[in-house]
Amino acid sequence: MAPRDTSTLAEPMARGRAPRVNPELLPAAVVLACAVLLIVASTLLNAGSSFVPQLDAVLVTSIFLVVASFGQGLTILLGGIDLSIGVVVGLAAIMVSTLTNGSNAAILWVVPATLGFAAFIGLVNGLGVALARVPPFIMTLASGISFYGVGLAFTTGLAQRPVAPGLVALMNARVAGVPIPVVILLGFVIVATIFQNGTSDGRKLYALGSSPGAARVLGLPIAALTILVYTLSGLCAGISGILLAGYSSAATIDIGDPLLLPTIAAVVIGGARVVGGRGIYLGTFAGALFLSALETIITVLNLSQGVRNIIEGAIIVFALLLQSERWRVARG
Amino acid sequence: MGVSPARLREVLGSQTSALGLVLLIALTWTGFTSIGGSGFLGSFNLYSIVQLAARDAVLGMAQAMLIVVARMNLAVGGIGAVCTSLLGYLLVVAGAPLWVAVVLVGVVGVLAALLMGFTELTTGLSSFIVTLAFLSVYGGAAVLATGGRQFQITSPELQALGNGTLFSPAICPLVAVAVACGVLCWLLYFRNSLGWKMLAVGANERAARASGVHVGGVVLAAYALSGLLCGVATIMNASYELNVNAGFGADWLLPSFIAAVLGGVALTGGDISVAGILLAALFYDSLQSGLTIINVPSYWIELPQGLVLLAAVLIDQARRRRARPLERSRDTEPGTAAVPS
Repeated sequence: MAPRDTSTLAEPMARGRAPRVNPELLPAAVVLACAVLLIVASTLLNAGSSFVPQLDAVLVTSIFLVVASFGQGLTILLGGIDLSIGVVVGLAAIMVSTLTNGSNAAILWVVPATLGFAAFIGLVNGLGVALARVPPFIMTLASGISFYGVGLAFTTGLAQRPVAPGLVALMNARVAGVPIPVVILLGFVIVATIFQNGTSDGRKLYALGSSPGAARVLGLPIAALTILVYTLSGLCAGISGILLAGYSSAATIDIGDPLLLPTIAAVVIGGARVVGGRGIYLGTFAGALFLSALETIITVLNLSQGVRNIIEGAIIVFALLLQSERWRVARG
Repeated sequence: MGVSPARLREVLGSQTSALGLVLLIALTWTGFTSIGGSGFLGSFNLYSIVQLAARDAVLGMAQAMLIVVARMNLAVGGIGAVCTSLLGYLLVVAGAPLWVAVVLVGVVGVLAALLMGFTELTTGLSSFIVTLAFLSVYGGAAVLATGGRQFQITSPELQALGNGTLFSPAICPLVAVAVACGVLCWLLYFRNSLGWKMLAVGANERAARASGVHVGGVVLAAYALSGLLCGVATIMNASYELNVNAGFGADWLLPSFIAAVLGGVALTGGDISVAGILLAALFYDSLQSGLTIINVPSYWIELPQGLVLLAAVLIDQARRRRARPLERSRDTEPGTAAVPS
């Protein structure tokens, strides 16, 4: 690996160079291997189950995290963070269940409206960060709490409404033996990877994240890119919320809260640099899969929420230690 | 570091923020009294406002300790959960004397924060991500260790501290604790070389290092003090709630940031206003209480919290942009770095 200081500047300019094996693939592959091992382990622990159904189950439950952590990964790539993801997931879930109220016909307008609202929250975050220059963690924390307040005010007193059966059916259906959510998952991973690691916009994000000063000198549309990233993060959280509502067939406003920390963890475990500019989506995907597999094991072993939190935090700390080692070696 | 004109302007700047807060509190109080009637200024209501504000002010100082050195402590609530569980266990299950429990809670608060400080310094990673991870670890550990059980504290001294009165029926003795912490903070930052070094590290870490400041030691001291103040906040919180569990601390993060940022502590580090923190906490809890008094539905009370935090940051930025138009760009924490100008 080249010394960090030159590579971070040179990499975004490398568009014309012949494709080479991305050094970021190594941590992604290791994490992916660990995730597969965990799934195997959970198969062994869970007497009477076999590998493929267990894999299916992990993939289906991982989709919420996989989708939401894409947005988180983009904000971290820019050296920011999105702390509103949990709230947006919850709001999207409750909005889709309240508005469809068990009717399939309503899906056609409710789903776009929900996605629009989720993207709007992201847009507000992006505007605050890019134009008002509010530090991202304050901006997203404040907007998360504010919109949570709005959601709480609008939903309280309403009885729990059923999610449209179409969404529920979608999350439970299979095509050619493969669960539909797994198909959605794979499609999302392909699109997200292409966007982040294959388009010029994606490359611009790396440039902006690794050296904002250089990005400005290059004339990159910094504000527009920042707004785009936070809007996408809101949108992904919205998609995740809709899928979660369909999966749980009911929604509460804090259904997304447990997702916030794992989205950050998935990005960090996947090998992204927390100060921005480094990390690929496949790494985040592997991280999300690993956490979901771990969650499955915790559920199988019937461990408590406390253990879950400790393990999650400890894994982040461990990943951070490994990461700092890796950068130190790279700097050599 | 003599008294340069820039330093003088900074000091005056923080005084205007305190003056502004006094005005804001006066406005809030008159506003809520005129809308909600005299109940707002009744001694019962004022008592509950200052009771909460005292704790929030100490939380704000705990947060400010790390913001001053250009870091942050997202784990105030995690340390609070650990300390609360320990306090409950020591007093209720182990039957330890109060002073032993108080000292141990302080020590554990310091150790919990130091562990984060060591992790940050050895990995060279941002305090943001490190404290976020530890928030999860500490919160989980507290729930796990207590198994979610409640501790009913019966210590008469603690009850007198949190639910007694001081001088007037409208004043909770906890105010004295908050003011004492404030005075100690002021002495630390304005009459002590360690505090000066903290401000220097926060203002410009490289320059501080180059001038011979032991940055690592100063940062660890800031972590330790932040943890200690979390321990103090735990005891304050427990003294009026009395029936405590490991869930305590879950809602500490927001008030800690609001009190610090609204109080005029620069998020970029290197600046503090102790009076501002005390007043900001008073304003925040006056607002919360006032909204309840004028019958704003409780569901709507979440909304202003986020907006107040946002407004505090925007005001702070506007003030600083005016005061120091030629501020140079410098390394910032991830998560705090806005788009470069």
